[in-house]
Amino acid sequence: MGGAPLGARALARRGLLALGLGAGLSLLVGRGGLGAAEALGALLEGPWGEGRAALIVGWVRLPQLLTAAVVGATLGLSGAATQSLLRNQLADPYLLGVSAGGGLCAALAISAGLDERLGPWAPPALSFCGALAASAAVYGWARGGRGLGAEALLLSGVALNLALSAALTLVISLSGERLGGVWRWLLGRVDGLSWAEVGALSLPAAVGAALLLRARRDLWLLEAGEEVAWTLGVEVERVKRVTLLAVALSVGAAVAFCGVIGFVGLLAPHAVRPRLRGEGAWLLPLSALWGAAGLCACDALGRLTPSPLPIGAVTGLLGGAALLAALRRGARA
Amino acid sequence: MTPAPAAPHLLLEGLRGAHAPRAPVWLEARGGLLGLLGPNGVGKSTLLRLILGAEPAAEGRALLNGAPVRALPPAARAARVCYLPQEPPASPHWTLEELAEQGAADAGAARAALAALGLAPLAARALGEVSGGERRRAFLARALAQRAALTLLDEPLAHLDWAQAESHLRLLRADARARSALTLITLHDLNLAALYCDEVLLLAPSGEAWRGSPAAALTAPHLRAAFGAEPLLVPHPRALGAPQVLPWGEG
Repeated sequence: MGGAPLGARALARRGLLALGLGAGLSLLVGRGGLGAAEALGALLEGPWGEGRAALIVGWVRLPQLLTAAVVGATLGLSGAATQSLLRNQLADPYLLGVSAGGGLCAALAISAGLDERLGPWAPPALSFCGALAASAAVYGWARGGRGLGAEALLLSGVALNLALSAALTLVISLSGERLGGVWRWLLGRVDGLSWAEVGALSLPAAVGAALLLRARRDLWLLEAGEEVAWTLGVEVERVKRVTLLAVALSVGAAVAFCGVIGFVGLLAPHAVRPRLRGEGAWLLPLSALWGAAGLCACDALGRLTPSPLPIGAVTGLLGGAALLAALRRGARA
Repeated sequence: MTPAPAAPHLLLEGLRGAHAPRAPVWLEARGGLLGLLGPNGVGKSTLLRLILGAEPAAEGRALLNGAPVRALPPAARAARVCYLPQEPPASPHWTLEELAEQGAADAGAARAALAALGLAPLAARALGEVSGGERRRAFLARALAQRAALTLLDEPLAHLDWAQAESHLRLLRADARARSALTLITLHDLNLAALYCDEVLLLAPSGEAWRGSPAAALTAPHLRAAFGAEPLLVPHPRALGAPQVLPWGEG
């Protein structure tokens, strides 16, 4: 994507501003017949407020906002890390098998009615396990005799994604009356999570983020090639394993609770990269910030329509449009 | 500041890769600019990668101050060994200064290296916005800024015009001599190598290798064996003892 080059500080300021606007919008608008003024009042009352407005803000909008922020940050951060790891700016965190494994297991759980039989935690728990298993499979397959090549990772990720999406199609076609539930999950959502679920989502996301942010300089150097990065002191194989683990944990949790929300992991780092002048090691934190801001804004926008749009549809539509616009700008420049 | 590392001592003990070089290479080198010469496919680049440990040796080993390069602990690597591959990967959004800083020995090293290569005015430009030659020189600046004891450069002067190639090679030799460092460089330009390398290692497809001063190694029989063609050798009009290879032409 084009865009005037800026420093890391300016990018951080813009990201924070966008996040603030998105967060404000997302707290003040939405369903429930709650006006913006009422919502603001409830917000100012704090966590001890009572009444319907406080209930809606505290138990519906706030968890939804946090979910969007955590998932957006996770996807942006993991997207940037995956791109550096694979030295491919078109890579996406879902490429490493996380969404395919998580998606298939969630679809299986929902279509088998496990959420009704075992409780609402069954699909996300199974999905998380599926995401970890798929990532482990991609890692194991790509791991040749010596080391872990970026190309081998990419190819085994693509192959596993293809195989698992075929299996997913099969599950969907056999899911019968529960088809609607499977579809709703696949389209992605950030609404309707309880505080406990937000906590369960945030914990692995935080662990993954901490691992990736600690490795941000190593991942920056990895884009200079593995041999060069090695001479500059990067423990190449360890960084690759840590990155895969962190992406599996955090994106696996995001997929488990919120489904497959596309485009954020690809677009957030794409928006940051060309604008980030001379401070490449800041790519990861800034991609997280822009991912969070982008998903919060998409969530709020999706609620402004007469009937709320699934967030996966909003990110897909807006993301595709943004990418096409950037392409046109790039062609003119 | 880290203390200056010990003077480099590189020892190749019958080193050979799976496909190239065809015969084991023996070499001992301590400092200066050492040119790796030979025809395409003879194993010049592979030899650099074998020294680095990026490829496993089929036989023999490479030792830097008594230990394989691969055994260097992370914190010691940047000061000990620098590698510039033939097609170095990089993000097109990195600025030249950012690139030079990646391996820089200290804060001033990146700027000094960019200035030495005439890239100071372009320091804030992104790699995607400079010419192919400027891009090559930016990578050379990163290597210079690292100030490693052993520097491995794979065709760093390819696609540069003759004036730049000569000035950069002169700079590389002065840098290696001034720091008592060892720089191994693969080159296709025999004439430049003869003028600026302290020593050369000429590899032939047969597995033979000749090492020594350019005048001693770049003789007509050696060049014939290495390149499979009869060279037209003339002495350089100014630099005494530097053999130069001219194209034959027709006539």
